[in-house]
Amino acid sequence: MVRVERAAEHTYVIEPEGAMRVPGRIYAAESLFEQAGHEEALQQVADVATLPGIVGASLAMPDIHWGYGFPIGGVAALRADDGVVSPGGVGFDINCGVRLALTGLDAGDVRPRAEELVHELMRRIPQGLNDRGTLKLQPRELTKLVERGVPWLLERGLATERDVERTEQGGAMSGASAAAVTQKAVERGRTQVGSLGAGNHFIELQVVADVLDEAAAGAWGVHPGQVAVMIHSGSRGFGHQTCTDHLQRMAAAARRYGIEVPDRQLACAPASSPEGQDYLAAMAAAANFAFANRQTMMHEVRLAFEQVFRRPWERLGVELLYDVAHNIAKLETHEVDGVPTRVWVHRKGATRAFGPGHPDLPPLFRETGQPVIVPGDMGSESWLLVGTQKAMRESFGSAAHGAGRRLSRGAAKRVMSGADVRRDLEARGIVVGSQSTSLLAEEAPYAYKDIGEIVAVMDAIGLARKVARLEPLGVLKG
Amino acid sequence: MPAKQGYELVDHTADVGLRVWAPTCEGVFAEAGKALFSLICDPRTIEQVETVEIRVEADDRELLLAAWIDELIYQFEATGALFTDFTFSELDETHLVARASGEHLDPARHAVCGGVKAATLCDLSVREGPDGWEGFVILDV
Repeated sequence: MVRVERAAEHTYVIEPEGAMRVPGRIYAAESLFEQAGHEEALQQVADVATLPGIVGASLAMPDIHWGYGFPIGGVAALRADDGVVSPGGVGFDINCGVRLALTGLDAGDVRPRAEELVHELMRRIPQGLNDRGTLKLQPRELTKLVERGVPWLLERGLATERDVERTEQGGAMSGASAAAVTQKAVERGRTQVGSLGAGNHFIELQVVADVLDEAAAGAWGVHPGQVAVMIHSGSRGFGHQTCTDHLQRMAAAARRYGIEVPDRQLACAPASSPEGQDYLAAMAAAANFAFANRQTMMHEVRLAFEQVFRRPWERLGVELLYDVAHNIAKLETHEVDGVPTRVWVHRKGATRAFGPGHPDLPPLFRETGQPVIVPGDMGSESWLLVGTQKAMRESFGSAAHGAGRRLSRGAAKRVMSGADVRRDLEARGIVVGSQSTSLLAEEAPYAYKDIGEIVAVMDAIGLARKVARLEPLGVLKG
Repeated sequence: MPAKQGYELVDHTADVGLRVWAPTCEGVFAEAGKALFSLICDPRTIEQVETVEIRVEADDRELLLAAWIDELIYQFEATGALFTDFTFSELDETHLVARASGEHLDPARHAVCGGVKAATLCDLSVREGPDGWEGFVILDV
């Protein structure tokens, strides 16, 4: 069992022991220590600290919970020159992420049509298992999509220039190569662009309930009573297969590079090695798949609004605020012991949260800091925050990505049936669209940690500041 | 006393742990396949109408178990294959040749009840004990 010490309010430290190269640092509420599986999660923070090239500390965000290899909510920066990259530090759902589109409509306009809107979304956007996406692609087209990302959709009329600008990394990771991706990944992914998937993925109609930072909200065009649409999804089978393939390859290569890891899910190879380079090229391709997937679904959201409100989406003001990745490795420059250092920042269930002035941000967000979108669990509140300078110093510009599970799927199903969960949500005026009642039980609100507490911890430490709170009007689940 | 051969699902906060046991290593791999498809679809609704040969290679026996599960996930997602029975003509530390029997997904008869993204390598094990073979794998669902 690892020894954890309280270093400051909401900050806990694991001093280096054994093979740990750096300390572990956990930003969390006290309640973490009552949570099931917290010992395993803390052990995973310590395990990540053994990776070659890690700098600063092995970090965990306030939504930390027990994962595999990395904890969920784990952040690690590994030197690009002589450090490793780890597919398990990104996860199977490469560039799982979330985007928030704002609308020019208010709750009063949408509430009476919410049911119709959710049904229109269900009709247009495939969800659940073994589904087929809205975009039918030939293999050659898929190659272009994964190498060029959202800008390729711009040429096809499925995105606007503003959408491209409002997506992390412009919706296109550089260095993406279809050649680094296996035929199996192509077969799994080819028919899935524009599909939601299952698990914790969702599309939610939301209303801005409170604004807490009027300056940032004003600059972003966010105001109370406004309706927004949140899309949470990832790279589908394409990303799952890509991680699988490269994880196997790295687990086999580890011995050759003389790298020992305490958990094989942490399998890694030097970023500069053939295995490392191939993984990074394939990961970038899967990340572009995910950006394009969320963009394609947002296009369908726009068409659904047109259908229901009988006006072009431009006039309804359905515009992207921002799209952020929360399972990804990014090449970034951060100060390490006062020296600007190129690092691969692995965010495993953590959101980038760059503060004001960062050159990678589009002009508007360079002024304010980037939007940090933190979805709650199904049917509870979600939050919009803004990145800070403090996050740049403390957490390699990272913040929490969501509520984080509290109960296993099995345990959640034993609490309440899916039909009861649906009734509960509907009694609170939330329209529920889902094909799977067992999924509703697995994803029930009580299965997740309190998002309010997680956001409060981030705000208190200053990793990200509260901008607005959103409440659900309708939810579409896998 | 548990049966000589079988599987059980173990709770894990974000995922599902899978414990399998059998008198032989082949039995462990067969049970892992059955357990996987039990997470995807009710096995009682799957008829055995076709058989597919599957070959898998990996660097060691543990990675082979993960690669085997990953291959079956791929078969399901790419072709809609649902399997309930597995026999092995070859199985050693680094490769296997299996015959998997079942049928293709027919939405009219099969309700897909869950998805599995991949087998993780976390706490992965395959070993021979005094009472036979045992395996453990955590699935990302």
